[in-house]
Amino acid sequence: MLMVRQMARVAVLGATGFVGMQLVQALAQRQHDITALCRASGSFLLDGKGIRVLATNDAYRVGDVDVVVNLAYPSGGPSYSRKTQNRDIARLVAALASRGARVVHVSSLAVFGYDLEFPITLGPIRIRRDYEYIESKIHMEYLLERMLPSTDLRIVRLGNVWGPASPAWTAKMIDRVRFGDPIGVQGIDGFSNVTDIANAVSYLTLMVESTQRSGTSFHHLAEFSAIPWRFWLERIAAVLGTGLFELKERPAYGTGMTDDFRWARATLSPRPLLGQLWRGRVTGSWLRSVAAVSPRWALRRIQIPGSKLALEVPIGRDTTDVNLLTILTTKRQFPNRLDPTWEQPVNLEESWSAVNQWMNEAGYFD
Amino acid sequence: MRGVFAVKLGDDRLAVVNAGPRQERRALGIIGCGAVVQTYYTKVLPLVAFPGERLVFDTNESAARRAAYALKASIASMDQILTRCGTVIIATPPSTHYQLIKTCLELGINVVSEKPFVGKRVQACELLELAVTREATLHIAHLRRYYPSVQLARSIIMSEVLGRVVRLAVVEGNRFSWQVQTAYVTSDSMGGVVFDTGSHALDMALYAARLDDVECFMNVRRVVRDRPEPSHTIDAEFSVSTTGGEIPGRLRLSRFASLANRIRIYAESGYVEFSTDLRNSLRLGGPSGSSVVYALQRYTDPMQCFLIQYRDLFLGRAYALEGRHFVNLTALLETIAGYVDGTSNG
Repeated sequence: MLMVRQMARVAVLGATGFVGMQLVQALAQRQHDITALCRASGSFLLDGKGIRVLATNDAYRVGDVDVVVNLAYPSGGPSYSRKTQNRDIARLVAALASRGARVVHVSSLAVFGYDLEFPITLGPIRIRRDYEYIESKIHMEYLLERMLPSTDLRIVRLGNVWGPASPAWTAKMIDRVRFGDPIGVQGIDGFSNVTDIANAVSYLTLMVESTQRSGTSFHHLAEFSAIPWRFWLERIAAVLGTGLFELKERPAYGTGMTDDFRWARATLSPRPLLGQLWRGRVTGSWLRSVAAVSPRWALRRIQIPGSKLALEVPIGRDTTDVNLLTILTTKRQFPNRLDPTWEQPVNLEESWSAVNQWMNEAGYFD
Repeated sequence: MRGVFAVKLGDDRLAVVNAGPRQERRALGIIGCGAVVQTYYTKVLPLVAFPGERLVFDTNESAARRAAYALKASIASMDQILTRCGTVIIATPPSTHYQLIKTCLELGINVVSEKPFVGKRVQACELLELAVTREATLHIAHLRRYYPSVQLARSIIMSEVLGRVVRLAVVEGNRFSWQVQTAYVTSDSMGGVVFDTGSHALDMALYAARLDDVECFMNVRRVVRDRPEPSHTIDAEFSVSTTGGEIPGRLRLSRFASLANRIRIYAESGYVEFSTDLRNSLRLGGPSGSSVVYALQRYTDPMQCFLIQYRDLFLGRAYALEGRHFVNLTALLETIAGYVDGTSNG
């Protein structure tokens, strides 16, 4: 029989993000004592929900907790400062967990590459040079493992978080369908590797409430990973009364430094060229590393504002677009590795039904 | 123009300014160094050629230092800004705009104010008259007017291929993630979602529907908000009365969750629908269906539009950003924000 922790004291970092907001509300409804840590400017988002909200700077006021949930991601400041920001977050997590609290860290399937081209293992990932987001996610896992060697550390790698109001996936996909952006490649039916927000919150709640202790453990959640993107996109197109725009060829996904230089060479002037290298998978990583240890006067001399501004970006060539299309057309499935006691609350049709209902409420059909 | 002026600062202190002759004032000043300056101006202004020196002012010294460093500018007092600058960019919380713009215009300083312009129509008209009297220019920065989809929508409406505009639907909602330096979004009467997100979204609608430069009267029929201003969600039914008739509209805004983020302009024989986000295309529809129309320009980052906006401003050709184009928007925002009967706790 599943042992469930009653009335846990839980600190949640990154509580005003999409997953964070739903998680703290779910935990509060289950009578846990929640302290949400977030940026002061966004704390009003949790007003009136019976949740204690503290700005990150006031974390020393949290007191003893049983569980620390980390959803924070360094999204502000220059991109070369991500590792420094990661260290600050990891130190805060370690400090909050210093009296034996469990740590639940929410990571992403992206640690295996946007095309899931690295071997999917249920264990630690080696630090490597990669796109900024991926590198940052790997780095945070690595920091927490190192800083919390004897802690009950649960690293949950979520699939693409889908569901009502999901800004990164549902809303973005609907917009791409509505306004004719490419959402795939003809003849390629990529795995969606999706987890529904309600299921993700349910699984994280289980991680918080479980009474079994362990060392470091890894979990992979993408309960709808086998469902192709086409399943969702065709339904969206059907309710919107539109078609789907697909490219004829899969855009070239950067896998190494050679690709970075090949793409950069295609730009003709120095500023876009430097910008392209800055966003390159490997070259960008090296440039960020150099920038992170450079003195400020040097950075000021070499700053590249506008590196994006003059860049010609035909459809399917912008780095962000290419990476998204890579995710949408991946032929690799992200396998679930879950606590066997978890019961999935939302099935496929219920998930779609919730999205459809949200589309009605959110003003898509006025 | 030379004289002594008493200037009221945001924190109720008074600064006494001794303004020099206009031809001696060549610097570019930035008043307010908060999130918008840190996010946009520090990246874009270094790319825009400006011959004179740059000065920044903020009551928060560390914010001013960060902006000065990034912009290769000098930190200045308010007094120095007003005596040495020929053009001033105002990027402070909205409720301070009126007084700051007025002060600058009285000294004959050209002004670019971040959106929203001011809180009341009467203030907007007063400032426009003042700008004419003092031979200064007044522009309002609304970068979304430069989004390719918005430009395209406006050109379609202008072509009259769809006929007269008959209805507006404006929806925008996102979880609030703007890293503001002050608490104005929760405490200032002009810090609510109406003046914040709403000024962007409604301006896109009015601009695309060509309702920004015609005589209009604004009416509000119903407003439901989560709390009295500054509110975080709002659902309003309004109408824009022009000589051509009354155009009803609906506005939905939220700082709590994603909404459809779209603007649909209904006309007699069809509609144009475009995103409130940066897009290079829109949807053109009619009784028999709809299709996507792509703009010739293709941008991938709002920063590009921000740069073009400032390039136009410094080249003196930002006609769409002249203050007179924002009187109707101000009137509509004022009417919606001031409508109190529909306040609910929901």
